Amino acid sequence: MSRTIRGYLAAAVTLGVALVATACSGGDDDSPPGPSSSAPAPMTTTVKVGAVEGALPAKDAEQAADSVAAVVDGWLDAAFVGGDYPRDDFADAFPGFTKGAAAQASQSLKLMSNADIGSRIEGVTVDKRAVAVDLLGVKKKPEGATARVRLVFDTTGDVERKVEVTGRLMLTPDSSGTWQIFGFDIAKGKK
Amino acid sequence: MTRLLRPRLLRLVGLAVVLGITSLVVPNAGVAPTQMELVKVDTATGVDLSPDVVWILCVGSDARPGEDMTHVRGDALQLVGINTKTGAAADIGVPRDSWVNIPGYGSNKINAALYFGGPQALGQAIGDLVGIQPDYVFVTRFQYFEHAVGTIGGVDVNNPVAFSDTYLKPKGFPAGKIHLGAYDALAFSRIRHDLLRGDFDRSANQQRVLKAIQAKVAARADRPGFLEKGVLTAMKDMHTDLSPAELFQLAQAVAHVDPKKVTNCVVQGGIGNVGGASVVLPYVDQARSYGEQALKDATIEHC
Repeated sequence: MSRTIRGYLAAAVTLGVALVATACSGGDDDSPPGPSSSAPAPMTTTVKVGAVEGALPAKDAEQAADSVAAVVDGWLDAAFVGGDYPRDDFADAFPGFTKGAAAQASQSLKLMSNADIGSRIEGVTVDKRAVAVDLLGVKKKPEGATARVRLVFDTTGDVERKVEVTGRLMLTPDSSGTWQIFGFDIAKGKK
Repeated sequence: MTRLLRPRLLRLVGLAVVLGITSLVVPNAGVAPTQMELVKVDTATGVDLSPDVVWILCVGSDARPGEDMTHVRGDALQLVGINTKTGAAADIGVPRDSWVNIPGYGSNKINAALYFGGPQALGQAIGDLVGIQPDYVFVTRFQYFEHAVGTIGGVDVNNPVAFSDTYLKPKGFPAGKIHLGAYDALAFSRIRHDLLRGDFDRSANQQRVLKAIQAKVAARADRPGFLEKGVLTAMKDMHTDLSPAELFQLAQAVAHVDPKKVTNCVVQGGIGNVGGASVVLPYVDQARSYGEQALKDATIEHC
C-alpha cells in the first residue's frame, strides 16, 4: 500500500511548516493554503505502511502512518527543503522532536539539516521523498513507530550537488496522541 | 520488569525478558535502497530518554518451573548503564554470593535480596554496594533467556579459556571465538565450577554474552519491524506497568549503544565463610570506584 502526502515548501521554517504538513491528508483535495509565490512547486511524500507488529487494524495502521509521516515531513521541510535560500538560520529545524531529541539533533546540525550548505545555495529541488512506517500495535492502538526516511534533492547556487538523507526516526505518541520524534539514526551523503 | 523511580520507589512487581527486545527478522517493507554512489556519508544518532544515563539491573533468576521468578534467588547480577547521548554503556558484574547488608532484611548473600524483597530489595542492595541505584530492574528466567537468544540466532563470543560442566555442557566450550546457540548461551552464563575463579569468571562470562546480544541487536535494529517485534515478544513474557511506548523507547536506547563503547568490570572480593556457607566478601571500595567512574557517562576507564 502506498499513498502520498502533499507537502509544501513553507516560506519560513516555523511551526507552521509542521502544522501545514500535519493538516495534509492522503491524496485528496483537502489542501492547505498554497505556498508563497516565492516558494518552489509542491512535492509529494510517498508514505508506506511498513512492518506492523501486534494488534493494529489496517485502517488504523494507515492513519498512524500518515500521522507519523506528517511529523517527519515537518522535519524534512524545516531542515532541508523549506525556507528561503540562501538561509543560515536552522534554529527551528526540528519541529516534532522532543526537547531532548531536538537538543541532540542540534549537536549534529550539519547532518540533521542543511546548515552545512544553506548559506551557499539558492534553492532545493526534491528528487525523492519517501517514508515507510513500521508500527508497534498493542490492543489495537499504535504505541511506537519507526519511520524509515529517504530524501534526495539537488541544490542550486554556489554549491550544486545531489544530497541524500536516509535513516530512521523513532516516535511515540504523547498523552494527547501526537507523535513525537524521540530518537534518530540518520545518514547524509553527497554525490 | 520493575521500574525504580528516583527516589527508589517500586512502581511494579514484575518480570521481564531482559533481552526480549530481540526479535524475529521480518521482510524488508521499507524504503528502496539508494541507487546513488555516495562519496561521503556521515551519520547522526541519538535517543532522548530521561535521565541521560539509564541504569538497568539485569537479573537472571534461578526460578524453576512454577516458581515466581521475582521471589527466588538471582543467579546473574549485572548492573548496566546506558548513555543515551553518547551510545556508551557500562556493565558492572556482582558475584551472587556477595555478603552484604540487605536493607530491611539484615546481612545475607546479595542474591537472597530477590527472595526476601523482590526486585526492589535487590535493586537497593546492588545500588548500595555500587553506589548507583538502578532505574529499572529486569528479571528473567532460564527459558525466557534461551528464547530471547534463540530469536536472534545465537551470539558470538570470545571465550578466553576452555571450560566444561558435567551436567550443563559435558563437551565443554573451546577457547577462542565461538558461536553460542540458545541453550549454549545459557550454559555459558551459568557454569562456574570448572572456572578458575568461580563466580568472578562466571560473571565475566555473563558480560560476554550480554555484550554479544547487544551487538547483535544493534546490528539488526535497522531491519523493518525488528524492535517493534521485539518489544511485543518481551511483553508476552512480562508483567509490567511500563507502557508499551516506554518499553519501545528503552529498546531503542539499548539498540543505540555502540558495541565499541561498552566497558565492563566484575566486582572482586575475598572468599569467606559465614555460618558454614562459602561467601564472597566484596571489595566495596572497588565496587564504589566502578560506580563513580560510570555514574555520569556510563564508561569505566579501568577495572
